[in-house]
Amino acid sequence: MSKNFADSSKMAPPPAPQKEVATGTCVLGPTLFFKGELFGEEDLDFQGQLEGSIEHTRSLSIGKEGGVTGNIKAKFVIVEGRVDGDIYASDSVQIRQSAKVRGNIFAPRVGIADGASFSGSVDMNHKGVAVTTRPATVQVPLSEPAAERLLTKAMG
Amino acid sequence: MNATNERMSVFGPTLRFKGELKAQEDIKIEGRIEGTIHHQQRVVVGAKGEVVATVNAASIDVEGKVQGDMSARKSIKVSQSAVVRGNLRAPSVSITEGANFNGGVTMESNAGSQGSSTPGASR
Repeated sequence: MSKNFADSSKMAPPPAPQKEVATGTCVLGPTLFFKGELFGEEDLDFQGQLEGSIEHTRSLSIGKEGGVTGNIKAKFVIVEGRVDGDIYASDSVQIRQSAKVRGNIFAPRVGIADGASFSGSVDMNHKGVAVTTRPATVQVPLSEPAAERLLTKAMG
Repeated sequence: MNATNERMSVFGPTLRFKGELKAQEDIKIEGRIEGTIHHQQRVVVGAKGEVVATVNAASIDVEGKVQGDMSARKSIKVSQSAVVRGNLRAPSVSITEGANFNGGVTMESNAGSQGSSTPGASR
């Protein structure tokens, strides 16, 4: 029974790439409009519009129809659309031919394709682009007794 | 327009967004959204999704967690795996047995009127 099942699964075509898209790269479509802060820890293909900031720990691509007004931080950034703002990458930034970028780029490796529109400056020595996995500032307010204890300790 | 079923945007599980989201295409939310969602089409809050927001859409399917009011022009479906805290407002609302739901339900055909006049629902 299990053998048969294994055989039939072998016969079956490999899983469609669509599944990979669903789990691997996340695609945000062209009619999406974000206003605010976006954080992510997975590869992202952004085709929508965003006003605000993006902080990403992996690869981020701004698609042809995508537009970002605000700063971008990620590991890899690929721009095919419009970006008004600074781009910080811990690994590399690629500005493709169809891109329109106004802002500064901070990354160890930067590529700007022929035909791309770019106005701004490039800084390849900018070290310490801290791509934080998440804003790990869990601020637990001290309870009053605890604060008092700390204070009395410090005083005494 | 475009084949909405084939290309549904997926807001992945590690994505977190704070702010205002507007869209005119189907979207599945597996990540975390805080703020407001204004949608013209279908919104699916996946099993891993967490939404702390007011949600407006044509239709809403909830499989994950939602905290906030939801209103839909057509329908709202709350699945078994869902955890919902908030008020629902749509012409058709369904809640599957096993779902965790705390809030009010208003079934109105005209959910477009932004809650200005609610004749029968005075509390």
